[in-house]
Amino acid sequence: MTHSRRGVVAGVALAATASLIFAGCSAGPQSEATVDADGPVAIDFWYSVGGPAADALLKQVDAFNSSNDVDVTITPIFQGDYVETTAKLTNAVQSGDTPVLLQGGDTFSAYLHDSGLATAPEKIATFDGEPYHGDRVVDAAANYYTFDGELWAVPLMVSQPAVFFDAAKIEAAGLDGDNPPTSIDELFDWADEIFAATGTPGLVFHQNEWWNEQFAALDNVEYCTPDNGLGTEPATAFNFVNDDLVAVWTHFQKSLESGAIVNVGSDGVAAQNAFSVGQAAMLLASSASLGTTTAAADFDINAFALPVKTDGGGAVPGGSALWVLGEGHSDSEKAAAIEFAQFMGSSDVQQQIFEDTGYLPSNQDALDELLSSETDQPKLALLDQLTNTAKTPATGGCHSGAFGQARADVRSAIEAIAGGADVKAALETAQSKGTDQLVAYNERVDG
Amino acid sequence: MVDTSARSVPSIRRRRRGPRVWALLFLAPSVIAIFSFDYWPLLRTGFLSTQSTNLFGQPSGFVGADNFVAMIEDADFWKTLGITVTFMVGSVVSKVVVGLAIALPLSQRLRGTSVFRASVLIPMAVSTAVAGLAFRALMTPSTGLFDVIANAVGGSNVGWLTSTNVSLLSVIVVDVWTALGFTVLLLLAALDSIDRQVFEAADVDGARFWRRTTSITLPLITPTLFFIVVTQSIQALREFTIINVLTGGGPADSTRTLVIDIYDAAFGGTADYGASSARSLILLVLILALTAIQFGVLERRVNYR
Amino acid sequence: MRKSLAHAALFGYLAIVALIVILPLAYVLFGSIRPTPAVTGTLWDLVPTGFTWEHFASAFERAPLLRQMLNSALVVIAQTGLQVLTSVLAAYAIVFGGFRRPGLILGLYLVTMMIPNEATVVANYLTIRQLGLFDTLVAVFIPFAASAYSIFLLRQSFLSFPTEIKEAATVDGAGPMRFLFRFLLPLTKPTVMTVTLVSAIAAWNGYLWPLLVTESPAARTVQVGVKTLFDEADTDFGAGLAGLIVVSIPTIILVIVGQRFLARGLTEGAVK
Repeated sequence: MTHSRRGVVAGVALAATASLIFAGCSAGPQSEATVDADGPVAIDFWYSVGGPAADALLKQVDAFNSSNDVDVTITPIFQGDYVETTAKLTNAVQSGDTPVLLQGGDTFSAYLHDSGLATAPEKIATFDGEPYHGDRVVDAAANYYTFDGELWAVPLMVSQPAVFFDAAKIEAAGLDGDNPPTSIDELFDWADEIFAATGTPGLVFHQNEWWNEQFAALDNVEYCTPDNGLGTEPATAFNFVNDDLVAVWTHFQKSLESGAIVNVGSDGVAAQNAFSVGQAAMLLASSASLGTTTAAADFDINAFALPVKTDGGGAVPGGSALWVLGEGHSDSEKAAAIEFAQFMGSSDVQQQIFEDTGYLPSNQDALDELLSSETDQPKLALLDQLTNTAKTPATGGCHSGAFGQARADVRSAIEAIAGGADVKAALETAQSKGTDQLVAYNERVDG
Repeated sequence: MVDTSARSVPSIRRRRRGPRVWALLFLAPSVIAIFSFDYWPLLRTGFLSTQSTNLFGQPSGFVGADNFVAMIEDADFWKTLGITVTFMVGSVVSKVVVGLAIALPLSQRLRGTSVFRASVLIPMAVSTAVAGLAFRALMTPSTGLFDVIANAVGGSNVGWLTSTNVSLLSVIVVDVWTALGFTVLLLLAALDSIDRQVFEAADVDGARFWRRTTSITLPLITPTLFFIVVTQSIQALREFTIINVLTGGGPADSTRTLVIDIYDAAFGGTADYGASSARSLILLVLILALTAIQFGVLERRVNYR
Repeated sequence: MRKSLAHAALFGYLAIVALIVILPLAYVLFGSIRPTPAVTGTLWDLVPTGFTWEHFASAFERAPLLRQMLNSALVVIAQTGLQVLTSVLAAYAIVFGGFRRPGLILGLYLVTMMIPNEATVVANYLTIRQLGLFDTLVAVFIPFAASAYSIFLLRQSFLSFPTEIKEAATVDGAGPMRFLFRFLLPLTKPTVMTVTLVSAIAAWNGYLWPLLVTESPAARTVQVGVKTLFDEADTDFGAGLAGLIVVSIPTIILVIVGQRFLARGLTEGAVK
């Protein structure tokens, strides 16, 4: 049972903390666990973002390396996307060569948690005795990384999808960015209208399973049950197929065929590029695309939030978080890691990341400050969306260690739909295959 | 007449039979190398194919033939084999056809063709990874040049790397491009070595070009054609770089060949060295079988002068 | 008249072929020097439309390309050196070592040509991990210390060495090493050059193996490095394109210089 696994890890962490407290006691009156720095500490940090997002991240890493007073040096290593990074981690496990810091994608959080490699941030002994506190983390951002009420990773770059658009192009079709569509179906209607009126395709987005999750969440549908895996019981089945979802993807299929929606396959980079060079009027993408499109486009970028169809629904905030993989690493390495995590999670750094990329701040103070000072339209729209997202299981996203594999099935289904396959059949196949994966995973973790 | 052959050396000198010591020493480095990195890994692969790993990459013990059973029962494995064979056949046929389509005109000894001979060497001037990435840029959806051209001539975005219908074709195109230099050079060498008198003896009317080509030219270069078919078939079975760089095996596993499967099973997130090793043995068997078949069947068709 | 029409058609055809062959590289080159956006998504991408160094600067910032090219160079030198050395020695031993069944020994090597690297890649990866050589350059070239293909080619070449000279040298008192370096190699230089060039190209081109055994950017060879750069550059397309150009420069020079040997090396194994 995942409970006993967590129990074991928690027990070990507790024992370790206890012994550290006793060790720290001898150094003088201290109430928290402390680690002695004992010279410079160099640790590896595996990260998974590219382009302007990587630039922003590395800028912060450099800032940390040059400014921290505990002589910690972070070595950032790009490992590919979230899938590739997690794969490399799995291979490194056997040889005991794992990094102590990892940028894990949101959907991998259950897997990372179940692996037993990670240490909860609040349990890590620090250099100054002040442990990490997760209370300043934005609620919505913490969802993916909270297990049994405890925070297991420090949210680093929060991403929530939004619709970016070229105001001029949508106005040419008589549409108004200040009165955005109220459902995804209507968004596709907009795409059709823009295409009919101007000849320019109205919308572009990459065909990825992430959208299936978002469309379901916007409708307040729990992607996997029970409770999206957020409750005490692990997720045991997928349950996203319903008439509304089928209708949305059917509309997508039609618009794709007519040319109203640009077909870029599953290539997210291509989608952003197509929008930036003017091949489509609107872009459905992660908030982080703000940075990349602003850099590449020669028109002003505007944005509006994803249309929420049903009350309680909303776009799922995801992104990535910093995981401290304490297993097999020394206390000073862990302390160094949490030092970095504290830095990255701080209000200043989170604000800068937002300004540089469009990734939303995971720090509540940062969010509050930005909300009061931000005047830039697209940025305000993104911040508002995060703040207004309902706090329901549906918007928490599905949590399961099998999610990574199950998503591949949905991806195939969407690609098939784009190729003209029957929408309902494709989605139902993906759903049942995914459920099988969930069941198999739960069995393997238990056994 | 002095007989300088070894037989005439007096028996005293012939006491030493068998290899000299230095010869054994000379062999040692390469023998150690091939045993360490070819023979021993082969054995180990066999051993690994009987092992299993848990979800998080830790080895979990002996499972006998389970990996093979699971592999045979897995419909995706057969799909992978199908794609591997399709890729191989498509790739080899394309290379021969395109190679001939370029080499035959180039072999006409005309002034000025030497600059074109040099241009065909260009694919050899870049590594496979670079070539793959260049085509990845060209095949980028919507903004890449291929889609731009497709749209310009009245079509729409072709999912070169994102549509399951086209992806394998795209990979083959890149494979053919990278092998162009090699293929055309070989064919040119063979064509150049054909004695011109053979043609003068036959009817050289331009309208009979095809006839001349099929009944005279091609038969005369069958050794080279044979060599190309054999080497490129094996190369196709082993091809990893191009597919990894272009599609990674997708979309929806439509370009997932056996080598990609071997890599994915081991390094794609599950660290399942057992499944990977089982597939590695299948690859080995395939290559051995292929070589045997080709040497057996095709060799008979090859004409020697 | 008809002949010149046919000739013109031929030239036209060949010119189109040449352009198509050059297209990928030209596209990359023009994109790498075009001011942002490097790729406009229009037919203008077919011609150079501007000039800037910004993408090259970005490429070098995102990946330690020079360091990686140095790594590749080291791997090429080490791998080629090892292969040539071990192959020359092995082929020499096979031909002149006095073995009763030299064919058997040659067979031992040739069999390894039937064992593709791709099938033993997992086992070799585990060996490297266990030896603690993961993420080192040594790991990249050491499995390729021997080359059956080179041994085969060299053996063919050594076989054709005239026995009279060999006898004369032996009578003269020349030991195996002296004979090898003073007599054999100078006369079989073309084959040695061919073997060297083929090995060097294979070493430079290596992708799957370095991908598996290196991890940090500073230890990567340039093939893997440029692919990682492309992935990481993401929407900064120009940086990826610029990286491709930088990485291609050495091989383009090599091919221009080594054209003759290349053609030879390929045909030597082919035409019986």
